[in-house]
Amino acid sequence: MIKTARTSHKWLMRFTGLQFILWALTGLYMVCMDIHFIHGESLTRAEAQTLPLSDIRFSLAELLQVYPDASNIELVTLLNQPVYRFRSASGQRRIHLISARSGLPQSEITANQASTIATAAYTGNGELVSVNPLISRDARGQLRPLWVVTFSDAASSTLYIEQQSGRIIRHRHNYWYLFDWMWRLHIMDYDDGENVANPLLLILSVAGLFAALSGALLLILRLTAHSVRSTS
Amino acid sequence: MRLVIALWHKWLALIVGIQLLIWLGTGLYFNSLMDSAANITTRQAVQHEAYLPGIDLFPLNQLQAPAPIAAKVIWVLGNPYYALYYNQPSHNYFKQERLLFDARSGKSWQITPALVSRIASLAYSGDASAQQPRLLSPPIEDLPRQQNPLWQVNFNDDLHTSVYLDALTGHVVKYTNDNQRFDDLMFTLHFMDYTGTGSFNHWLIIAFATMTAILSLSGGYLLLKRSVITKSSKTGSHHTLQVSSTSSPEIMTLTTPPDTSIFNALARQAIHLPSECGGGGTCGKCILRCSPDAPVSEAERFHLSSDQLKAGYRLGCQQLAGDNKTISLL
Ligand code: FES
Repeated sequence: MIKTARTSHKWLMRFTGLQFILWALTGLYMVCMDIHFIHGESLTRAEAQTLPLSDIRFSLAELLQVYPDASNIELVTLLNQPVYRFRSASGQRRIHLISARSGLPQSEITANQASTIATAAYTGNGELVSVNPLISRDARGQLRPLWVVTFSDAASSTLYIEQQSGRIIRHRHNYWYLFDWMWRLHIMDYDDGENVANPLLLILSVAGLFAALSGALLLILRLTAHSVRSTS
Repeated sequence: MRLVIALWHKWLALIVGIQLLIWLGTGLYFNSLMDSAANITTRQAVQHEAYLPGIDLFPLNQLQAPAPIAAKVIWVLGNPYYALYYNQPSHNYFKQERLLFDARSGKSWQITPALVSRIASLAYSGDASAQQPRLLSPPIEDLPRQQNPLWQVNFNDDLHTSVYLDALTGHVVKYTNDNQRFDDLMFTLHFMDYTGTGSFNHWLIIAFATMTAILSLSGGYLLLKRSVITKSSKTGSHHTLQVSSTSSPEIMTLTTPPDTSIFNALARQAIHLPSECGGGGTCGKCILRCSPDAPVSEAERFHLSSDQLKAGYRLGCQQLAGDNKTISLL
């Protein structure tokens, strides 16, 4: 009995052992790294400039006369001035920026403005290295031009700024990329890490479960066994 | 070295064993049984937004409120409100500091239980009846991460559906039901979140993950060590071994591949040496007598005295058949 447990533990582990080590090490990395740190939430400061309501000289009613189809209307401080930020249904839901002081439309964020926004928000101690344009897609699949602002700190912190809105929509640093790879290795989906329900993981977890159960059996037998001697 | 590692391997397995099986079991569940998209079939989007032009809006700059960080026009059941934000949490479940005003009158506003009931029933497509809304403050059992108060509306259906709504606006924040609660339980088990932190960054799981890493690495070491022993040994056709026994005068002859251990070779003849470790070299029970010049392994040096070694006592599981010609059982 004990020998069968030993042999099956050994053989099943020959097959699954490497993945066990990977599960353990990648899991260890993921539980040790604070998830909010990984998301880069500490890369930008939480406190923001306040917006004195008396600063608003262009009223919402006036805005609606120009943009009657405005939706998701918000008022924020952008580059030191209060602006209305909203989507318009007619303009393919594009994002508009209108000064709340003058009522003038603001053009899309330039590379220079993007670096100003990024450096003001950035909490690290690196220097700004580069600002590059990038076209990506939002959740609805619409094209959205971004500025990619990179800093020279050890983690290569990078902020992604939406050109239409001036919002920082993504934080990245090396720990995030590393985490992403740990996740892929953990769930054994090596292309994009999006599919937990992949057959490779199924095979390895079933085999792994048997490998662990045989180990558990071996452990129980060893802890309860008294020397048995039977010579036929 | 190998023995120390084997010992560690055994005791670590004893500590993390159950959790390791839980990890594998729940992992398998996430892989092939969980279908979170199908958990809640009774959810339904609520149309809050209406047409803003034509509504007589209270001017934002006349609101009686401290300067916010940002302001938003939000909708509740076709009526516009101003939401003023005083912090910018990176997740909605973090503590939010907000003030809400009626956009027509400019008066401070907050959702009433009656409106909460209405929104909840609009948000629910099943035909079960709803219970009275209850305003819960965190910690909320179904939503351990949530740091804000929420309305809870329970429906009298088989799956015990609960809808959670924002305390100020009445917007739906989360649905749950028994399907979802079961999945949540699987995550609680996988993340060892037995204290309900709603996170996987806590000391208990870090301690267990560390021990599991050592357990699996030590296992890898043991496996590698063992394969090396088997491979490096001479592979020939067959080898004959004379086996005598102190308890009987007969001498048995046994043919076996030279690279099997004596322990296994004997087991194949139904002769079982005493053992607690099944031939792993850790229990030290499988003692027999070989010739005094038989090779000595680390395990044998650990379990046997030098006098015993000089007298030819060895461990059956450490001796290759090919290294021995005659052995005697005790
Ligand atoms: S069988 Fe346990 S040491 Fe040989």
